[in-house]
Amino acid sequence: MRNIYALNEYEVLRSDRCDTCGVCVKQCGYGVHYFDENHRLCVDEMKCVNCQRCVVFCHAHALKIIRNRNEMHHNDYWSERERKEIYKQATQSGILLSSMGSSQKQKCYFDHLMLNASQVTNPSIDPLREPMETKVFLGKKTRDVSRDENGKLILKDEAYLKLDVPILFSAMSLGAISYPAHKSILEAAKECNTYYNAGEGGLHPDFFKDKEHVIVQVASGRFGIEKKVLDACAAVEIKIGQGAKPGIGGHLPSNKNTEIVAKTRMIQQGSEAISPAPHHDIYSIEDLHQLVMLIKEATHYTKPVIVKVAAVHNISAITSGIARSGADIICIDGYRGGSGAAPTRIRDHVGIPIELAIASVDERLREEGLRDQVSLIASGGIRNSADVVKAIALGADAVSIGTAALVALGCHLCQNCHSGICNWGIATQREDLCARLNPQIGKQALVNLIRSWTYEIREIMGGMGINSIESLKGNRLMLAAVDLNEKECEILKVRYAGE
Amino acid sequence: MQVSKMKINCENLTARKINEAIMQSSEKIVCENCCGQRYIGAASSGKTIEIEGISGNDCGGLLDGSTLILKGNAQEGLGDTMNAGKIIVHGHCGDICAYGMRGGKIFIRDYIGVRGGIHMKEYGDSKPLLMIGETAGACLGEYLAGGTIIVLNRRDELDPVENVGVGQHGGVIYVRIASSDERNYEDVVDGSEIEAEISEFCEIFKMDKEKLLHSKYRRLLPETKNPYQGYYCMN
Repeated sequence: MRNIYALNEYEVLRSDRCDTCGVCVKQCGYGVHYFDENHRLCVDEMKCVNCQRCVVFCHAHALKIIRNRNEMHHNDYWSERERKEIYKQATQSGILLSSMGSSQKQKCYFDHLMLNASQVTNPSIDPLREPMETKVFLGKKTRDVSRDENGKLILKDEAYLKLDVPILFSAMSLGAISYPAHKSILEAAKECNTYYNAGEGGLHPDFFKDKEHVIVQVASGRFGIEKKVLDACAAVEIKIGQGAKPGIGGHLPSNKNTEIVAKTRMIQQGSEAISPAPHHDIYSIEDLHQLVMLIKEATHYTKPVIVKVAAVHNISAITSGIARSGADIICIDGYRGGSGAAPTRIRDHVGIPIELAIASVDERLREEGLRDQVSLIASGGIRNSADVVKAIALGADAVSIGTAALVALGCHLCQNCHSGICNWGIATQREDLCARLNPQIGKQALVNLIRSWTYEIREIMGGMGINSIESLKGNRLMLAAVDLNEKECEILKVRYAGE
Repeated sequence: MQVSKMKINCENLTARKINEAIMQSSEKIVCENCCGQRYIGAASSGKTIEIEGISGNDCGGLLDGSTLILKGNAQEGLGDTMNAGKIIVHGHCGDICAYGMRGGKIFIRDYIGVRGGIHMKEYGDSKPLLMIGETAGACLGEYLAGGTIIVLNRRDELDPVENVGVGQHGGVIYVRIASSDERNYEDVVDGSEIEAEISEFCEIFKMDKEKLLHSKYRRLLPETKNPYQGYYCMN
């Protein structure tokens, strides 16, 4: 059924500065701008997703995109969005599909946590003059110290990851995002001495040579996983869940399964790529242990194994189990984490905030004496360096960024990745659109971002009188709560400002 | 210590030690006195490994070209995410065998447990084959994306499979129909379509192939290449 109630979400305003050069026509993959048979420049606003590509590329600055000013009958409870979604389902039927992270207005705990700074006593440190350690090691920490007959320390390191900055790039598959986006992220990870995560769609053969900076993912679909790929990485991540869609699987539609995607996933081109909701060989912590150890056995115990889970209600008990499964690192993805496609209802309503999750997990693992057996990576909605510092002070060892990295590559968060058309060349497999993202420029943008955040993290830490990430980890005294209730402070283990 | 057919006494060895020994051994290896050690032959290539005694879970996990011959029964997770090679089981097999299998062949003389061949897929020339002599537990071939699963039903059970091929979107499943079964099935073929596979199976286990070749088989193909049409609504 045609959705006769559908209105254009946006209005495309063209001022008289327009010289009809036609750049907007060329740039819009959705076909919003077009020349009619009389060579008049026209607009089909129904197709506009407000990705801002035409606005940025209009040399005359003649374009503006605004929300449709039309107002439906006002109702605070039955918002326009609610009604429009009902119209869609009543006419087209099906699960509502969205992209990126939740855009809903929910409480953001990072915004209610203030950072500390030194005054008078315990003087602050000037990072321009003093050394500041932003290096982080992820993996099991050696517990027992033993010496040989000459009294020398016997070093038996477990496999670990070494990062110059406490920031990794989140898992995003080839399929969800384009080849040049992958290339940009990998090159930036090399330059910043951190890690690129290939996501569950396998590792492109071009990237095998950079194995020191690559994390590969083993998800329920087991796409692109073989010995050769496990040998071409620094760590292996078992993906159990993802913040944008906890509890459900993934599904790459056949039209996005192009030649390059099929090759990397090692499946037939044009077939549906379905990741089942669970790993069918993992129904318990013992089963998880079995897969962790299979990967370790296959890689001869040379690589740490990460287990990635979505932050859900019982997260501290879940991570306590994972910590006993032999995993070296646990990645917890909060409900604001992004996705190339996720059911709207699940994206917006399932999971818990990463701030509460990481605080309760850190606390639980400490109580059980397991905290040094695993490192924690927090992800899902990390927007800036202050969020990084707060996540670490709440108990994470490091964070990983996905959405922020894509924004650095030019993403304007139109949240329409599931269409497969991305005018910025990021969330698409269309060759003409992919060609718009230059990996050299993309890499530089990401390097600039990581560098800027690192400078800021050093400044913030210096202000606190702290000179290493290690002393910031789980250091709740560096946080003060504002506008949070007692229960929230109790879970975060943070004192109220002024307390 | 290179010998033509190396023997490894697994009695008091951990899985890690067994696999290290396999790595350092010649091409042909006999693992004796196995008592439940996991991951035997995991991710290995270029070896022929005979396993005597009881192999543990995830035997041949991520297998990359080796041949494993199990003289006893197999446990859970046989050939998990297997890429290439061959696994022969002279007995029955536990749950979740051939999960995510992408290439190679698995032959099981008797029956298998639940969740066999889930999400098997094919890529280029590699098409995995899972062949079961008797029956299979529930959920065989769920999410099947490619490759072939054959259930020979040698004991002529009326229902040798249950809940088979749910979510299948590729590949093919053949289930031999018992001679006493008079029900009508949608897509029925005879054994000649899978003659090569039946011959290989019977040769391995020294069985007579004539009866199997002249039997009727239910053939299950995916209903549609796009099972999710109409499932989503763009928001």
